[in-house]
Amino acid sequence: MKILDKWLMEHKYKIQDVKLMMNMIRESFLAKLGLTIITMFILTAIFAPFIATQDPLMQDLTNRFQPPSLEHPFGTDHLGRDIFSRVVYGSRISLMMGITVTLILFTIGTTLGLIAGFFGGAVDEIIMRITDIIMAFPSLILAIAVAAALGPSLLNTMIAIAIVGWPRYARLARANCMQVKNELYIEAARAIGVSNLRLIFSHIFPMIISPLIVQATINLGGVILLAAGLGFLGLGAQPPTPEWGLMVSEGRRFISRQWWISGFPGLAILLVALGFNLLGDALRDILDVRMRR
Amino acid sequence: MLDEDILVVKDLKKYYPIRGGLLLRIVGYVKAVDGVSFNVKYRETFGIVGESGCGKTTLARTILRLIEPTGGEIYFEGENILSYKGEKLKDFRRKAQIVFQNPYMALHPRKIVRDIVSEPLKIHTDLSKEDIYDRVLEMLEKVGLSEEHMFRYPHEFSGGQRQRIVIARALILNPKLLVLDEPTAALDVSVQAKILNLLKSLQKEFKTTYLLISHNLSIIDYMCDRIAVMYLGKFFEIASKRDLFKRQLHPYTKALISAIPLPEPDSGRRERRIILRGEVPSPINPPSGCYFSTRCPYAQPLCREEEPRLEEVDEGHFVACHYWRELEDLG
Amino acid sequence: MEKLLDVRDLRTYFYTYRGVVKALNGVYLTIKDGEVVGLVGETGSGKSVTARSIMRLIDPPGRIVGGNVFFEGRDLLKLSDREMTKIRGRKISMIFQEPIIALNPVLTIRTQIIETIMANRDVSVNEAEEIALELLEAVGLPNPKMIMKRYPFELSGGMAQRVFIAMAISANPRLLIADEPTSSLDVTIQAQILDLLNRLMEEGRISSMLYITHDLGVAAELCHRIAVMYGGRVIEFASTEEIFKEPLHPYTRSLLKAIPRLGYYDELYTIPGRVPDLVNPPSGCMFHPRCPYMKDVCKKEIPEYVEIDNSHYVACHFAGVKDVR
Ligand SMILES: Nc1ncnc2c1ncn2[C@@H]1O[C@H](COP(=O)(O)OP(=O)(O)OP(=O)(O)O)[C@@H](O)[C@H]1O
Ligand SMILES: Nc1ncnc2c1ncn2[C@@H]1O[C@H](COP(=O)(O)OP(=O)(O)OP(=O)(O)O)[C@@H](O)[C@H]1O
Ligand SMILES: [Mg+2]
Ligand SMILES: [Mg+2]
Repeated sequence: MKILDKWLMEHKYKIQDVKLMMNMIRESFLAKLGLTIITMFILTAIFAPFIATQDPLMQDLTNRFQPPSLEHPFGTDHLGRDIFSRVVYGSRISLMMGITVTLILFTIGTTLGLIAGFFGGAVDEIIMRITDIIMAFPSLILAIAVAAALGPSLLNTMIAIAIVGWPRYARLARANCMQVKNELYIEAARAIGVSNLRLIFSHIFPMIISPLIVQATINLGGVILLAAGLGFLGLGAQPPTPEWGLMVSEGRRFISRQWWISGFPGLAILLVALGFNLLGDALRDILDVRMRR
Repeated sequence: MLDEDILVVKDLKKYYPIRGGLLLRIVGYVKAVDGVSFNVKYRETFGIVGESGCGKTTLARTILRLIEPTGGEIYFEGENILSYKGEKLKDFRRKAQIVFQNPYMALHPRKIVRDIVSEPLKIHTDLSKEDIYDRVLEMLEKVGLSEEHMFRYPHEFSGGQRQRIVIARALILNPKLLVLDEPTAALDVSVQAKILNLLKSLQKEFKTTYLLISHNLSIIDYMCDRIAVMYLGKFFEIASKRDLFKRQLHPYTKALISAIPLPEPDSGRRERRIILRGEVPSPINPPSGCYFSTRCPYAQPLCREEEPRLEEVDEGHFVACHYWRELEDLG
Repeated sequence: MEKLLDVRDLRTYFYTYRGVVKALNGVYLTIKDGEVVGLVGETGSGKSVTARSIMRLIDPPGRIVGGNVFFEGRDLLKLSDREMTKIRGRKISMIFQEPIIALNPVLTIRTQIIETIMANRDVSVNEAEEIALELLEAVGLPNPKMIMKRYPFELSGGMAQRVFIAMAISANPRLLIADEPTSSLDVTIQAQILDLLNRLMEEGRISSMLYITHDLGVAAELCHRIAVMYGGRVIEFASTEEIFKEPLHPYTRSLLKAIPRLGYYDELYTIPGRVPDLVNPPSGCMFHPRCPYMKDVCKKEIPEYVEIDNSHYVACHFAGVKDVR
């Protein structure tokens, strides 16, 4: 009983936050929509083997170009593969890639940003100039260049997106860090002998995490979009991987008559990107409210 | 002599550069602390009184090496702390603690009280989790809080309670020196009384040396053994409390003491009050000679030319005024 | 002497998301012509809200929900907004704690002071300018001509407060309300301002004043009578002499014992507990949870605000019963 009480006390605000989040999501249509899309997306990815009607790689040349039907809800492609199953399995690739890359981006960007903001001086100059250079290019173009240089593969796509994406996190983290590091409670922590490392990660980081999470959520959609873009250009996943961008690209030739080959994976990309954006916006509102408390 | 002193400060200076122009070149300096020397004895309470902007907080920060001084020396228990680095500096932080002016800003808003108060223990000791918990609870009880407060966030507390949390964190490692930078300036009278009482009783229990900074002479008088009067980054007078209230040698000290409004009607102080002319000059370009010469009712030509040195004129009584003797004869 | 201001049972509430903040719970206060009344109390006791309610400067979510504010015999709460605007600045004016914030940052002192004078008096710009210079001189500002050209941020706190006082007295108001005008200033500067206010009283430029402060020392020096506030009520109101020598309310007594005084080194008296939450105030007497003399009746009944001795008002069930203490 006592332990439970303590736990409840300690996590009172986290519980309140969750409640607040639920309430806000319940009140906003767009947030509900975003949450629904993302939940479905994630469930699909997890339970792909149970949802797919057949092996996504299985070819059936006798059944090419089937339009959507009960047997093949999204139709079949030029090799007679079931598009529904391919889209379902594709969600795994997109989700895996989105999360991994975002985690990498988040970690690298935030760490560099915190270091730059905290120490300032030459370190700050160097890190910020690098972000300037990277951000001077449109991200897709730069990603194409990097992916082309590294050679096409799923892993290289992730590396390319990571290289392009971290500066945004770094700048956000740096700006907030510079503000927080001058607060009295940070000086107070220094006065009790807290080391710089601990100061950065245990004192400053918790104060700047909220906008970064919003950024990451919105960015997840962007990462998936970018990965699909590279796939589409043939610089990402290689056939026969059921990657959405690649699938759109493969169906491109038949778009005028067999629209479903590109259409359904395209729709999936769109929905997921939209879903993350809506969710990110909702999250921003929620965190704003929490800040004001 | 030296070994009765826990802290010796010699000619300490802290100038903040002012940048201006397109290239942000240094165009001048704020001389926030400008050649301050004093010593603090073990277990005493040394008070520094001065008006806002005279450099009290800067002095406190410099002594604790939260900012680096521009010049001077600081000895803590006989060692020059300005040479400290790494482990030595960390060890110094264990022995010298600070309570800040504003309890509303000094606590991390996203940490619960347990984590705030236990942090010094986590950094400086290798006690087990249970031991840390017990120590934190014990300390919180000493400052008048209880177990139920441990899991709350700072914004759930009043100013006085927050200051108690700050004090608990500062004293949990039993430091030898505690710097108190206007610990009650942000608090109400009745809350102030509680904090002052608490600080007094904790000092008795832990045998801590206090360096108390305030602009409120009544508080300084209530708490301190010796007092330094600060003005524009300099000390004008240092004396034991008894000496200072009996016999002020510096005209600024006189004016300061006479300016305190006393909660006694018809004390007749209003008539005897020394009203100073003008305002405190800017520390960016202080007046020539004695910094007080622009407001001093007794200023002479010499005062505008030559800066008086702080000299010991009686045992333990220091003053920086060319004419303290004449003024004393004047009464 | 005649009552210039007579506040009766004034109630002001703030309707916030946390609930209704009952900031004023029946304030009684009188100011006679030519008198300085001090309003003292701790943070949140309702001093500023009282001042703002008298001036009818309460903005939503706040609302004056009851009571009367008689000024020169008329109830200010019943006046139209237009009539009230004429009272503000001309008959009653106000000075604040943060003079630099209260001044408009983008206008010069000249513009602001002349505007104020012309709003309240029937004069030309040139006449207003002359009055302004004379007033700035009167509040002890050296070189008024130069001050007029400056912007508020170019003034120190003490100078800005002098400018503000000059503006406040420009229309020769009957009543000046000063809300902690020296709390953000240094002791020696505070001494200057208090000295100035005293001088202006002697010169007749200020006739009556309501002086809000949390510093009992300042109140003791400046005021003829002192009202002590607690939890949105005036709980004791008497001459300065009596408040300090013979306080009747337990809160006043505790407060007086809690301030450090020069030459006094015993443990300070402390008041147990905390200030009341004005959303869920304690039943009966607001002070009862902290009162050393608390009896059953204190928990149940709100003590009335009554005259005990000659002009000594107290809101305490046992104020008349001397031997309770
Ligand atoms: N980081 C800084 N950069 C530049 N100037 C500073 C800085 N900190 C303080 N100053 C200046 O140094 C002077 C002394 O400031 P300090 O905060 O030490 O005064 P203080 O005596 O503590 O005042 P208060 O009573 O208002 O707390 C002031 O003129 C202030 O403006
Ligand atoms: N705009 C507002 N909205 C909600 N509550 C308010 C508002 N203004 C004042 N209050 C509440 O009214 C009460 C009285 O406030 P008031 O400002 O009069 O206190 P005070 O005695 O002037 O204190 P201080 O010494 O801090 O100036 C407080 O509890 C305050 O929280
Ligand atoms: Mg300070
Ligand atoms: Mg107020």
